[in-house]
Amino acid sequence: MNPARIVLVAAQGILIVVQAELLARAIAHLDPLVLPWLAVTVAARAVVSWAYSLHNQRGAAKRKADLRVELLRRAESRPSGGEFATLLTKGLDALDPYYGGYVPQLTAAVVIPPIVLLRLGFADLTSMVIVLVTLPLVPVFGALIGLRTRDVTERQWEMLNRLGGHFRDVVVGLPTLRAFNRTEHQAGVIRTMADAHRQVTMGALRVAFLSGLVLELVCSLAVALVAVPIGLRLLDGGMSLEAALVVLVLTPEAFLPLRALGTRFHAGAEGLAVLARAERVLAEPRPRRGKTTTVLGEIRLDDVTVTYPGRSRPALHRVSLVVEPGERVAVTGPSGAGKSTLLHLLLGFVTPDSGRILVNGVDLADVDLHHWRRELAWVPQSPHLFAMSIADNLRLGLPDASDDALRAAAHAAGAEEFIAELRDGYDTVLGERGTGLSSGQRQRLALARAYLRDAPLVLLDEPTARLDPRSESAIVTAAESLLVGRTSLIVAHRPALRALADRTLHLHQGRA
Amino acid sequence: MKAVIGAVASGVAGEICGVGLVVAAAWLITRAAEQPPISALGLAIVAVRGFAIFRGVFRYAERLTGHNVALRAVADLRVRVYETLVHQPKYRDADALKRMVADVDSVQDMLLRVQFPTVIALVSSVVSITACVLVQPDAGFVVATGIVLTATVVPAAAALAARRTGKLAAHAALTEHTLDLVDGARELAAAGATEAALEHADLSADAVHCLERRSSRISSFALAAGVLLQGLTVTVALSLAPNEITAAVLAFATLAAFELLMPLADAAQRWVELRPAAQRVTALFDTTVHKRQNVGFTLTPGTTAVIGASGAGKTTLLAALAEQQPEARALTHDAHLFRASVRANLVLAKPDATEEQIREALRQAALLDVVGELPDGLETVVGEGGHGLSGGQEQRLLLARALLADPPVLLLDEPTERLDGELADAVLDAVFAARTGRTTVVVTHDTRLDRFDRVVELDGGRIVYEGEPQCRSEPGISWSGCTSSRQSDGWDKRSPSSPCSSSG
Repeated sequence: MNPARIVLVAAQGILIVVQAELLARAIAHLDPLVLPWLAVTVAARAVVSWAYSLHNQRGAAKRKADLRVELLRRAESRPSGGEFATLLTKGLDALDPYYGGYVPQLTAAVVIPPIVLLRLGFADLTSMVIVLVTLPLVPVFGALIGLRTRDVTERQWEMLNRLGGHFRDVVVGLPTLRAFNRTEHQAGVIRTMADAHRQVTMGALRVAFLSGLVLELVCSLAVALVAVPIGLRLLDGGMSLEAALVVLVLTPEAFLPLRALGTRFHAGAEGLAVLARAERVLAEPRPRRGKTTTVLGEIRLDDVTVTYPGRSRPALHRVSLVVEPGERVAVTGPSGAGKSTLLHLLLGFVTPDSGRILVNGVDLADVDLHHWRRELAWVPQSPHLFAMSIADNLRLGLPDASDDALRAAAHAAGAEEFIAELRDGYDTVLGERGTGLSSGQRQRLALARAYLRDAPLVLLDEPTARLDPRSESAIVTAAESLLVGRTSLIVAHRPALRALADRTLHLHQGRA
Repeated sequence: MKAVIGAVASGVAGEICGVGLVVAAAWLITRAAEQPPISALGLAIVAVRGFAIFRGVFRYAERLTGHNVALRAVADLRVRVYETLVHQPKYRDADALKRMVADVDSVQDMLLRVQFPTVIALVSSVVSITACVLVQPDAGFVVATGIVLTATVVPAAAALAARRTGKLAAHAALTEHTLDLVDGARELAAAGATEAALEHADLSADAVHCLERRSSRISSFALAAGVLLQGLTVTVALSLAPNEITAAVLAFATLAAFELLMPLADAAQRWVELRPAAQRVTALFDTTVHKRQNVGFTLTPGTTAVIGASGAGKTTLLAALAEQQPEARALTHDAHLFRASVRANLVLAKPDATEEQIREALRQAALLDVVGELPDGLETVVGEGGHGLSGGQEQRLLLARALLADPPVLLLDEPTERLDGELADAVLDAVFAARTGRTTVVVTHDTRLDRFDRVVELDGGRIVYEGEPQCRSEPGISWSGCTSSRQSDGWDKRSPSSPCSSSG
C-alpha cells in the first residue's frame, strides 16, 4: 500500500464530510458567514484532488517507464518486433487506467465509505444502518452479475470473433476478389454478417448491461430509502433540518467510490492482463554467460544435433565438421536442411542439444559469447538495417571506425556509388527497417558492415538469394574481395557464390 | 435517425432522473422541516421513488439503444467502405487494408464514447440550467456560467493532455528503436552493439515518460478545476437564495448538474484519439477514382519473363497490365487466402469447376499430396485462424487457384519465390505445360531465362529490353543476329509497337 495515497484519500474523505457539514449549515440556517468557509473547503478539496490525481498518474507513468526499460532488455529474445513494440507503447498504456484509476479507486473504496458512515452515524443512526446494509449489495451484485455475464459473453466470444473477422478477411482479400471478378455479391454478404454480428452482440449486451442497471438501482434506491423516512421524521419534528441535510449529502458519497470501482473494473482487468504479459516476458530465463575466452583457430563440430522446440525432426543431426584456419567452405542443400542453423551455432544463437563445438580446442558452451563474437563478421540472409544514418549502420560493429575506413569498406562492397546518390550520402537516415533501399543495396550495406568489422571469420548466409542476376554478380564480386585471407562459411544456393569456396559441404535434412 | 433520437432521449431522461432524484429529495426534506400537512409531501415522495427507479431503467435503455445504433451505423459503413474500395484498385497494400478495417471499427467508438455522451451531457445540462433559472433567475445565471466554464475548460484540458501523450514523434521513435532491438537483435549481438542500442532506446523511452508526466499535469489541473468550479458555483448560488427550500434545491441541483459534465472530459480525450481514424475513413470516400495507365508493350501468346532489379517497376507493370486486360487474371503478392475451405478458396476462381479440374490444378501446383494429407482434405479450413500451411504451400495453393481460372492471359508475380530450387523448377515447368498456346507473363528472378519465349527487362520504370532471351546482352557478351532489342523512354507512355498484338 502506498502511504501518500492513503493520506490523500483520507484527506479527501474528511473534506467531503466537512463540505457536507458546511453545506447543510448554509442551507438550514441561511447563514452567510458559513459561505467563506465553504469556499475554503472547496479550494482545499480542489488542491487535494489535484495532488491525488498527479500522484496517481505520475505513479502510473513511472511504473510504465520502469517496465519499458526492463522490457527493452528482453528485446533480443522476442519472436516478433511489431508485437513487442505494440506492447511497449499502446499495450503499456492500459496500465494508465489500472495504476492511475483502478488501483487508487480500490484504496478510495476501502477508506472513504467508513469515514462517511461514521459521520452519518453521528447525524442519524437509522440512516447509517440503511446505508450500511445496502452498501455491500454493490460489490456482491457486481460480482454475481459479473460472473454470470462473463460466462455468457465468453460463450458468444468465438461467434462474435468469427462474424467480426469476416469484414477484415473480405477487405484484405479484396485484390483477390477483384482479380477473379468476384466482388459483386460480397456487399450483401458483408451486410448479412454485420447484422448477424449486431444481433449476437446485442444479445450479449442485454445481459452484460444488467450489472450496471442493478448497481444504479441499489444506489438510487438507497437515496430514496434514506430521504423519505427522514422527511417523515422532520414532519414530526423528530430531527433537525441540518442533520437531515448532512445525511442527504453524504448518502450518495458513501456509494460513489464503490460505483466508480465498478466502472473501472473492466479497465483494471485489461491492465492486469497487460501486466501479466509483461511479467511473463520478464520471467523468462536469460541465457547463461560463459567465462572463458578464445580466439579463432580450428573450428571443430563434434556430432552436433540441434532440435528446435516444437519440431519433431532435428534441424541438424549428428553433424561433424572441421574447418581449418583460412579455409573457405560452401554449405549447400535445400531449404530446411539446416544451413542457417550451422551458422547460428557458430554465432552462439543456438546451442547444440548434443555434441560439442570446439574453437581452438575450447568448448563454445563455456566461452563468453560477447568476446567470441569479436572474431566474426556475419552477413545474414535478409540483413536488418537500423533506423539511423548509413554511416552508423556501417559502424555497427566498430563505432570508432574512421571515415576513410568507412569509405574503403563501402567501396569494397560496391555500395559507394548508390550511397553517393542518396540525398545526404553517408548521413542519410534510414527509415524503419531501411525502407527505400532495394534488396541488393541492403545486401551491399551488410557486406560493407562485414568489411569494416575486419574479423578473421566470415559467415555469409545466402547473400544473393532473392536478387536479380545483375545485383547477384555485383555481390559475388564484393564477397570475393571480402573473403581474401579469411576463414569463411558460405551458405550458397547459386553456383556463382559457391565457386568462391575451397570445398563444399552438402546438407540434406540436417545430415552432412 | 429515429433510433439515434431514441438513444439520446433515454440518455437525457436517465440523467434528468438522476438530477430529479436529489432535487426532489432536497425539496422533500426542506419542505418537511416546515412541518406542513403530510399531503403536501405526497407528490415529492412519489417523485423521489419514481426517479430512483427510472434513472437506472433509462440508463439501461440508453446503453442498449446506443449500442444498437452504433452497430447499425458500422454495418452501413462497412458496406459503403467495401463498395468504395472495390472501385479503388490503388488500395492493394494488405497493411493499409487492415488499418482501414480497424478505422471503421473506431467509428463505433466515436459514436458510443464521444458523440452520444457529449450530446446527452449538453442537453441534460441545458435542462438543469433552465430549471435553476426558473427557481431563482440570479442564481440560475450563476449556475449557467459555472457550467459553461466547466464544460469548456475541463474537456479542453483533457483533449490537450491526450494530444500531448499522443505526440507521435516520441512514440514513433520508441517503436522504431524497439523494432531495431527485436528484429535486429542477432545482428546487434553479433556486432557487440546491443548495449549501445539499448542506451539509444532508453532515451526514447525517457522522452515518452517525459510527455506522460507533462500530460498528467494538465489532466490533474482539469480535475481540480472541475472540483473548484463546482464548489464555488454552489457557494455563490447559495448566497443568492432567499429561503431554505430555494437554497436546498439550488445547491443540490448544481451539485448534480456538474456531475453530468464528467463524461465530457473522457469524450474529449477519446475524440483526440479517434479523430485520425475517422478522418481516414472520410478521406476514403473523397479520393478520386484511379485512372487507367497505358502500358507500352503488348502481350504475345506464349511465355514472357519480366525481369529487372527490385524497384525497377515489375509489379507496377503487372498491375497496369491486369487493369488493361479485362480477361487477364493475376497472381500477385497481395493474393489472399480466405478463411474458408481449400475447395472454397479454389473455386473462387471458377465457380463451376469440376472435381477433375480442381485435382488437375492442384497437381500442376504440386499440391495434390499436401492436400491429401490435410485433416479434412479439400474441406480443410485454411486462412487466418484455420489450418496453418507453410509459406510455400500457401503460395502453391494461390497458384493452383490462378491455374484453375484458366484465363486467356495469366499474370504471375514471382510465383515460386518461396519454393526450393528443384520444386520451383518443377512447378514452373508444369505451369508452362498447362498454359501451352495461351499468354503467360511471369515476373521472375530466375536465372534460367532460356525456357521463356520472350524477356522484358525493366530498369527504373522503363523497358530496357524486349525480345528473345538469347538476344539480351549480358555485360561482356555479344550476340549476332539479334534485332529485336530496343530502348524505350518509359513503358507507361509508349503506344504498342510490336506486330504480334493481343491487347484490347
